[in-house]
Amino acid sequence: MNMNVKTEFKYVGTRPIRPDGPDKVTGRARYGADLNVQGMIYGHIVRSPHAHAKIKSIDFSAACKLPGVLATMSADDLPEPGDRKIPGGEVEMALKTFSPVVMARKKVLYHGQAVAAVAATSPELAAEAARLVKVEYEVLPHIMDMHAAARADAPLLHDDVYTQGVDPAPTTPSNIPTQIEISTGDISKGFAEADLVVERTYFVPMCHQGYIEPHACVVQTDENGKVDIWCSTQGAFMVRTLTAAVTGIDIGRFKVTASEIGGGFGGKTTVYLEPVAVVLSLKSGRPVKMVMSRDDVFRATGPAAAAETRVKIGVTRDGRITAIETDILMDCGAYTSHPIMAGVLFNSACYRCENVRSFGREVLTNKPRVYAYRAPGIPQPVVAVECVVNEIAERLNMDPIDFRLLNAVDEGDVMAIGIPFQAIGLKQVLQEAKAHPHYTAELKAGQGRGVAVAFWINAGMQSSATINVSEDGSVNILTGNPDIGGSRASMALMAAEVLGIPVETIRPSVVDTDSVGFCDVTGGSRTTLATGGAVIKAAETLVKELRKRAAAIWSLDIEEVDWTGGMAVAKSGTGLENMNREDAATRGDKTLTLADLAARAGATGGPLCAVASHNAHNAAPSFALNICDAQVDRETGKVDILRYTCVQDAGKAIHPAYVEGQMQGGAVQGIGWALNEEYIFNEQGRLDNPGFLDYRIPVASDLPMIDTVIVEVPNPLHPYGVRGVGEVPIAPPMPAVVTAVNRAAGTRLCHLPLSPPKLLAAIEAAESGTA
Amino acid sequence: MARVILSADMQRYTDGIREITVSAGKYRDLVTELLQRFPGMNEAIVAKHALAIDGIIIQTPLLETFGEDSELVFVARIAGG
Repeated sequence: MNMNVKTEFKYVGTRPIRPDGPDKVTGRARYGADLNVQGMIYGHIVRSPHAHAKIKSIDFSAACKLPGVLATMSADDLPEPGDRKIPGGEVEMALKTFSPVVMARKKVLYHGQAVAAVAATSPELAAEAARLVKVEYEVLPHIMDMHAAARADAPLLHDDVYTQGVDPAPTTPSNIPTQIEISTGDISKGFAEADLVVERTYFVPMCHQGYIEPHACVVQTDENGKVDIWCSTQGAFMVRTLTAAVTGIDIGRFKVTASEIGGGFGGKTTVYLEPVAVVLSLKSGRPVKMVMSRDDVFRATGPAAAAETRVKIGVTRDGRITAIETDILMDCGAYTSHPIMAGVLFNSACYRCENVRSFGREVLTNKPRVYAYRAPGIPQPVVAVECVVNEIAERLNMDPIDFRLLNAVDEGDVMAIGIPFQAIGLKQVLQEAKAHPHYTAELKAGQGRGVAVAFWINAGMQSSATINVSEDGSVNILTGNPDIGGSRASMALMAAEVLGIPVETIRPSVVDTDSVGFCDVTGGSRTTLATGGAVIKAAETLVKELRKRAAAIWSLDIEEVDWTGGMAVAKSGTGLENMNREDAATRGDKTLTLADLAARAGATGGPLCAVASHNAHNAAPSFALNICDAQVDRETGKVDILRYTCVQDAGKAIHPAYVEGQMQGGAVQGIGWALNEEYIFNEQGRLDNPGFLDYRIPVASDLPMIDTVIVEVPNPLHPYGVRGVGEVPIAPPMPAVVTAVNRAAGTRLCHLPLSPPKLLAAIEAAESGTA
Repeated sequence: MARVILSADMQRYTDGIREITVSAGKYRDLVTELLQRFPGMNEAIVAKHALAIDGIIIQTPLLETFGEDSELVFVARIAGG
């Protein structure tokens, strides 16, 4: 199925100024909380003060006595989810695992879970009314430790969760919703063939995506049953699907408009506020705005899973990997979203190895339900695999990149799950990294260097696009994917490439669910590939129509007309030598520009527009490598990242600056996860650090400029060679940082984050010989 | 005969058999063949999976066809972020 991949480009690969840039830097851009409409009231959520409790009763009477309180709601206002499955953003989901996250039903399973809501004429009044809602609870024992939760005698969160993936099927419920194991070859034989076996266990904590913009929405309903939603989301169509499912309202009544989005990283591929605001709006007859506080975001949205990974790798003395075994225990919070799948399937996908066993279990605890965060499920086990790979290279006295080059997968190699690789760029990434000046730069005493690689599968899925041509020949592209990482510019560049017109003459827009065909979420590293694919298809359709119109004007057959340089050209026409002239009079009589054809659109068949939709089956994986230099203050335990370089196979980089931005952003998030970020729960099961003062994400002053190298091994399945970009950058930073820090400090910490107190204790232990 | 590798989840219904060959040339016929050979399996279990055909992962393979020499791999659907 390989296709002819275009390699020469005029517009693709350039770096035009982003079309949404001025609005964002001047404050004109409208985010989730920026919309205000006539008659709007404000919703406020009542949240659970307990980590685990039965809801015995909810009494709104005192709240309703407050003048200005116009509506209340609880789970009684939502249909029972039953066993219904619905299509989620990317995979099918059980309604009962996320309807209670919107509004708890009968039980609360984590501190901060939504229990009820009120709407009133001001935010302050709504908050006051929420305080007056009387909820009677029967407190139950909570369980926060995933090892304890995994035990057979642990208190149960759900009495209807039976472990999937176990034979025979269990007859008693447990806190383990999923168990999965994959294997290939003979793992015992692989270890028997090894000259060196290293086994370690690494822990990665629960952490938040840290998007700057909290969740927010405005919902307006009318007497005809129409429901308009404006919200900050990674997918307007996903909001439509999920809100319809949670509320039981027909999907055809919804129109969802995605606002500008201040970060998502997977955390905005589901709904929290929207169904609540819909019910409050229907009950009050007024538009309802709801905005989460930062506290709400931390306590009640979906962080990334914590995980403990035991990894055991065997190698020959000449550095060939003979066996890789991983065992992952992943803390999913109160409901599963199955983040473990990718972690089990792909944690060692960078390496050619005949004998692989990968085992994983998800565990439910009384914490917020975890949700997607860039390459969900991969960063946690990759820390373990990559840190052990670095340790093995060190013990074999091999260069860590040479070790990886010796074992790296290439085209034709087969993953442990049986899928063969097409053309991939891992070896090129490794070679570029080795050749980078950073890799051979001298380190001073007390400094350490770490490298790590990672893989992500990437996704395609469904997208649509519409292209309209105005009377003056200017072009408008409509897509339904919220622009998180620069997709508007990328769409414009790909359309410019097909149409042969300057990218500045194209206006890309992200529109609502009534104004364009279905689009899956902006996530999974799919938008440039899949929605871009729809744009390319639409532009190609438009070009065919333009050739047809020109042929009609010239009384020619369409096959006698080319489209080149942004204009129709009669193959046998006069004046071809002048076709690049700007002055139409000197271009000859057998060229017609887009503007010429647009001006005659009415006379040649009507307005010029093209629509395309497709289900992209042409995704291809990405590989990334990070190099990190770190220095540790031995008196305080503070880590300074001295130098940082990211190398990634992006396939063709449509807009290289955005690709670099994705690489840098992923690196920063991974550095934060490695060094400081973690959810800290107290004995009552309450999150102790639900704000950016106590939950420390890196800021610009913490970091050096992060260097980037884009490797462009084209995806052989995409007309422009595009791969996904946004997921894989989160996976290599943690092991690169952990290795660098441990080398700098002379420690071997395996329990993240490597925060100053922990590091200081390890340094002191190492110095006193008690480590 | 196309070669089929079954996912870990599907292997629970095949007595641990990981790899089979099938005479089917269409996805729908493949599902029918699987259900006939492994009565414990059902359509819902198959439908939870994406299908990789000769290395290309297809999330919704309902209308897909493949050749006699094709390599097919059932794989759990993966969500991104």
